[in-house]
Amino acid sequence: MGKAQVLPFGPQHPVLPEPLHLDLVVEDETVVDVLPQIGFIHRGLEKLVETRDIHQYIYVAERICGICAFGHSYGYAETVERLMDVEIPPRAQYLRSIMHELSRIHSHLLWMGLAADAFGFESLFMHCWRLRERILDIFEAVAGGRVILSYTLIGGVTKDIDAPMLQAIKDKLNSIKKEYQEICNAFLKDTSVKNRLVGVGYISPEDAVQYGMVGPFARASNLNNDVRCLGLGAYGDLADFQPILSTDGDCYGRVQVRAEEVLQSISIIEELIDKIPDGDFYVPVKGAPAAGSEACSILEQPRGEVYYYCSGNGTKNLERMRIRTPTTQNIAGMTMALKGCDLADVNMIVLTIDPCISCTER
Amino acid sequence: MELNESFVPIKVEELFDTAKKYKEQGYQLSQMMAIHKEDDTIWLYYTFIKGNEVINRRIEGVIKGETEIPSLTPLFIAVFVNENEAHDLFGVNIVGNLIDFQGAFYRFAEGVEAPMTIVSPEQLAAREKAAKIAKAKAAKAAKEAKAAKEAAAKDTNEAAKEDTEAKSAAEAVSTEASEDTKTKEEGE
Repeated sequence: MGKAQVLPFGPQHPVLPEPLHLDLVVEDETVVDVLPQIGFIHRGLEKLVETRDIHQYIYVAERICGICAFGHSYGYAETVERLMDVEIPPRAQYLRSIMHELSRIHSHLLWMGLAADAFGFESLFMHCWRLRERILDIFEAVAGGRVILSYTLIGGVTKDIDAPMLQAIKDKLNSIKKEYQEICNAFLKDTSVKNRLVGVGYISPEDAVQYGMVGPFARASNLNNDVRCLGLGAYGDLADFQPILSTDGDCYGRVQVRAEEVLQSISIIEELIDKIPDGDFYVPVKGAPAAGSEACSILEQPRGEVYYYCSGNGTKNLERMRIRTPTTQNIAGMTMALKGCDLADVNMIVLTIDPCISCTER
Repeated sequence: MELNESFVPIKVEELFDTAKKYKEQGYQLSQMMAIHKEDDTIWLYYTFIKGNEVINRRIEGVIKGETEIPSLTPLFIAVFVNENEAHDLFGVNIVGNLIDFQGAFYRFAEGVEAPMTIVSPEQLAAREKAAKIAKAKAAKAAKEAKAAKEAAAKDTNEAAKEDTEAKSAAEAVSTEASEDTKTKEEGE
């Protein structure tokens, strides 16, 4: 056994989309201990509630992260609505859920592209991102933006999606489905891909509970904590929602869960479009949250459960707004998965938690 | 299904044992956060989630850099990020954090400490505005209550006056009637 050495990994590294630093303690080629470090891009966005009113802050919330942009505006708006006892129209709930599931598809496709790039499958990376562009086209047609949508408002959404547009979304997703299944085959059946993923970074179901993991990272270890199972909002009207789980607990299991979740999201969108009720898509919200009022909510974002908290102080500015993101919760599990792995597998394990440091630091 | 949220105060000394009980019952510690209050104290929130149950336990009156808060990392290791954050951004004195960055978790400009406890001019203005609004609301409520009281008193007086007038009128009518009868009898 060689002498233990500390090897710095990141924050600037070709495989890392965002700045995360790891001090890897290695003996020969084996990682024996890990110390994670973030804190390079803290922007103090939570403090901005002091200078932006409840309606303005929605545009700050969606800029917390470019990938989870819609999800953060959705979660923030929902929490403020709970704070002010506002009930939004059912159509608005459906529209939000449709856009949220589209966000999940685009996030997972983006991640799958990065994963393919990490294990050296360049053409697969390009195919994933090519399909993702088609989802961004839908965003552009609906909201005008491809990344920052500004589609959510406190009380509903900014505009309705009419029947022809909803049908166009269905048709587009249907056309994507066939191509996507071919990509899935490459991810889940190709031998060279399997060689890089199977048995790497294993986490048992017990450890997943112990480390408090969330999202697809946890579901790959057969831990069901999908918030959508609670049936909040439009998700409650789905005929049957079963979370995607895997018993593998390794990098392959994490890819499998995300790959299947894309198809699941397409089915959810199709069902919601079929069931969407007529009516208003917005209810005006006036006034300010009462002093001393507080509310929280949880939302299943592409990376897992996100917790939102808001408290009022009697003015249009909130006293406090808090977002706890999935990566915050998954960092401990990631370090656990890294212990004992080969140095060459570090990049794959780090990527399979789908870390979003922008969200985590805010 | 609805989200069942609750906010319940807890004492510092009860925190660790309570968290242990929640863990045994299958709850996950979803997050820990701090809020800087107007009286310069800090409130800490610990959120335990199981299914649709979201229990927020709150420690009030924490003094920056002084009150010792036991770390929950021995029970829920994932909370080390939140505890380092509470220390660096709010100056909360967390004791026993298993992955303690000793104030080096976030990097700030030189001389900046606990930036989330700095009261900005905007925040000060918001607080003054809130106080003004609360004062104006209280004054309005008091005025309305006074007006309502006066109106009630006026109504009672008017009703009494009307009663008296009606009574006098009735008496006058009955006197007239009796005088008429008397005159009639005399004529006969």
